[in-house]
Amino acid sequence: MKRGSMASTPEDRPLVEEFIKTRGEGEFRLLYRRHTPRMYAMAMRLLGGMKEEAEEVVQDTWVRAIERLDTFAWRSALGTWLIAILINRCREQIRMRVRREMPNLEIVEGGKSPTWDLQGDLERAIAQLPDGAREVLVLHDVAGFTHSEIAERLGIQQGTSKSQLSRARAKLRHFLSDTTRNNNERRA
Amino acid sequence: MNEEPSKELPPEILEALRTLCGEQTPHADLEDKTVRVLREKDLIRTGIGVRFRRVPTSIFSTAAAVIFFVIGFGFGSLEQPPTDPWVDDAQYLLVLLETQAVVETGIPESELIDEYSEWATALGEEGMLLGGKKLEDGIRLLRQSPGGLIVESSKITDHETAIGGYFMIQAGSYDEATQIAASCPHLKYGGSIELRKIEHL
Repeated sequence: MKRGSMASTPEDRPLVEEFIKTRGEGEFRLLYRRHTPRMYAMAMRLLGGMKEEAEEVVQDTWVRAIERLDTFAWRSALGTWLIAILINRCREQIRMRVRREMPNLEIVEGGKSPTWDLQGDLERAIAQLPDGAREVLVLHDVAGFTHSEIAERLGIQQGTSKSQLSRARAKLRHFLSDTTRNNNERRA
Repeated sequence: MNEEPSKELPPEILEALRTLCGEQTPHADLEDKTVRVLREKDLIRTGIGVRFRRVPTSIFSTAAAVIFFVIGFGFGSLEQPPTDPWVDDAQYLLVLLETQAVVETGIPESELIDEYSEWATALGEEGMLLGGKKLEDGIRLLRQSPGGLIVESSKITDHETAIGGYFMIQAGSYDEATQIAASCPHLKYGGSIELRKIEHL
């Protein structure tokens, strides 16, 4: 099972079937609590750590999922299906987003990392990647999707996925090496 | 599984990236906000099929006892004379069925009691609540057998489902009565309600 797909727990299918029958709030809340933490984590990664946008995307994903739930054919796990909807919604959000002045990794002289924590540095670096590169890096290196799966979900060619990943990793490496250099200079 | 090893990133960075995949908790409000949106779009119904919280039987009994006491204290004589079914609203009985499943609610008992109280008080103030009683836990089941009358004694805890009490309401239609019953917190906490229209002979 890939890291990014959430296999349905054994209780998902009966719970979903019960929900479709009754449209009960209780059943929905159980599904929500079961799957939202991973959905939200994925949205945060894809949207560069923007909490409010990630929450909006998670909410919209649930609305779309519930609208279509009675047509879900269980060809994949429920969690995988939810993530697919979430990814599409994230892409829409990125397209709608007002472009902020994000520092270009080529010209920034290394990030001024306040801590020497690798995970924190990675989070900051990922947030600064261009949107397309970030999407592919998160789906491939964080969530474990293959290039063919990424290509299918994002509506791109596999070659594009590979080149975006390569670009993202190069920028990440550049950012992290500059961060390490800055940290070493501080220590000295 | 990924198809290729990384040519650009050292193994420790790749490993660190993999650990980023996990769970994060959004703001606690998001769940209720999402439920509200779904309700507005008529994609979910509140009060139907709700089983995500259950109360221990003892807590329900305590809450019900307080509710019925409050109703009695606040509204004096509870048993109103029957209204004219041809002119006035019809009367309905909400039979509250208790289940034996006991799951921790995570809700303080005082909040639970407040919720039942608020519901009943609101109905009373709108003139829809006609009465209600809590039933004691003891049950006697009478039936006739070829050998004679059989009286079986038991307690509410001996049965998977048993009647815990009732409310009597008046409403303009069965649909309206259903909506009132659907709003009763009893459903939210694991119980079920049998709704019956009182027949005037």
